[in-house]
Formats: sequence, structure tokens, C-alpha cells
Amino acid sequence: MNIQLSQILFQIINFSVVLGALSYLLYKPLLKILDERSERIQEAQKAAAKTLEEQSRMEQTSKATQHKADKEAQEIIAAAKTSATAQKLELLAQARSEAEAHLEKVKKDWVTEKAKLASEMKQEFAQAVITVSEKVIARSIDVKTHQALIDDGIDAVLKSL
Amino acid sequence: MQITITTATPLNKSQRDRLVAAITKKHGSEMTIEEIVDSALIGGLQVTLGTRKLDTSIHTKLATLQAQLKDSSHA
Repeated sequence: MNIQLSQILFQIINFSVVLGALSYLLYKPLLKILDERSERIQEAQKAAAKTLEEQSRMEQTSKATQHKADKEAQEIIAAAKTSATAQKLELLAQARSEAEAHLEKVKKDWVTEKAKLASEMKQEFAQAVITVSEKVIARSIDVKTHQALIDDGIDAVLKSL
Repeated sequence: MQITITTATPLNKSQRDRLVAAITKKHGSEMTIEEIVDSALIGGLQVTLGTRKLDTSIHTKLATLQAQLKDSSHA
């Protein structure tokens, strides 16, 4: 086997040329493609991170909004309960007041009616007493008593003249 | 002067004379006397001298008593 230096040199030069050509024609574009791909991946990762961040922020906002809504709902329910209780108490007090006023009026009316009835009964009794007295006296007076009454009346008239 | 004497039964003469004498003595003889018999008086008499009225009738006494009873029922 003969090893010729010229051939070795030629092979080295040939390899160097092929290497240079490959480096220029393939390696740099490949690197560029890889860089671009890496850049796209990074951008995608950034976008994904941004999306995740946005999603997280939205979730927080949603939670905060939900919490606020729950709190406001509880406050509204509590206020409604308080208002309903106050209204109920007010209505009860009003009903009680009206009932007491009505009862008082009924009592007063009853007392008035009772007094009126008693007065009417007394008047009717007085009328009956007088009517009966007139009849009894008229029947029991005889002529002698009539004259005596007239004499007494004349005496009274004479005294008053 | 107009004088009206109302009684439940008629006056007898002595009663009339006694009454007329007393009235004449007080008010003079210039007067007209009218006698009325009204059984509604029950007893006693009413004498009206012009605008003045003297009343001793039982009817009036009972009416006064009735008024007092009614007044006491209002109190």
C-alpha cells in the first residue's frame, strides 16, 4: 500500500472545501432555522405564560367579584331581614295600638251607653212615679181636701202679695 | 188689671171674697177677675196677676218634682 502525500493533501483540501461548502450552505441556514424556531418557541412560551397570567388574573378577578357579590348579597339579605323585622315590629305595634284604641272606644261607648240607659230608666221611672202619683192623688182627694188645699193656696198667695 | 184664678174645683164664696179683698187692697178695685175650673190642676190653685203668676197647684208641684228627678238622673 502506497500512501501518497499528494493524495492525502488533496483529500484534506477536498474535505476542507466540502466542509466549508457544507458549513456555508447548510450549517448557517440550519442555525438560522433553529434560532427562528427557538425564538418562536420562546414567543409561544411567553404568550402561554401571558395567557396563563391573564387567566390567573381573571380567575382572581372572578373570585374577587364573586366574593364581593356574595358579600353584597349577604348584606342585602341581612338588611332585608332587619327591615322585615323592623316592619313586622312596627306593624305589630300599630295593630296593638289600633286594638287598644278600639277597645278603649268600646269601653267608653259601653260606659256612655250604660249611663244613657240608666238616665233613660231614671227618667222613665220618674215619669211613671209622677203619672201614678197624679192618678192616686186625684182619686184620693175629696171635696173637703180640695177646699183645704185651696184655702192653703189662698193663704200662700196672700202672703206673697 | 186682669186677674185669672184657676182651681181644680170651684171656689166657695168665702174663698173668693177673701182672695178678692186681699187683691183689691193691694192693687185697687180696677180689675177684671176670671175664674177657671181645671181638674188637671188636681188640687190647689193658680192666680195670675197681670204678668205675675202664683201657683200652689198639685199638678205644678208634681211637675217640679218630676223635673228635679230628671235633673238628678242627668247628674
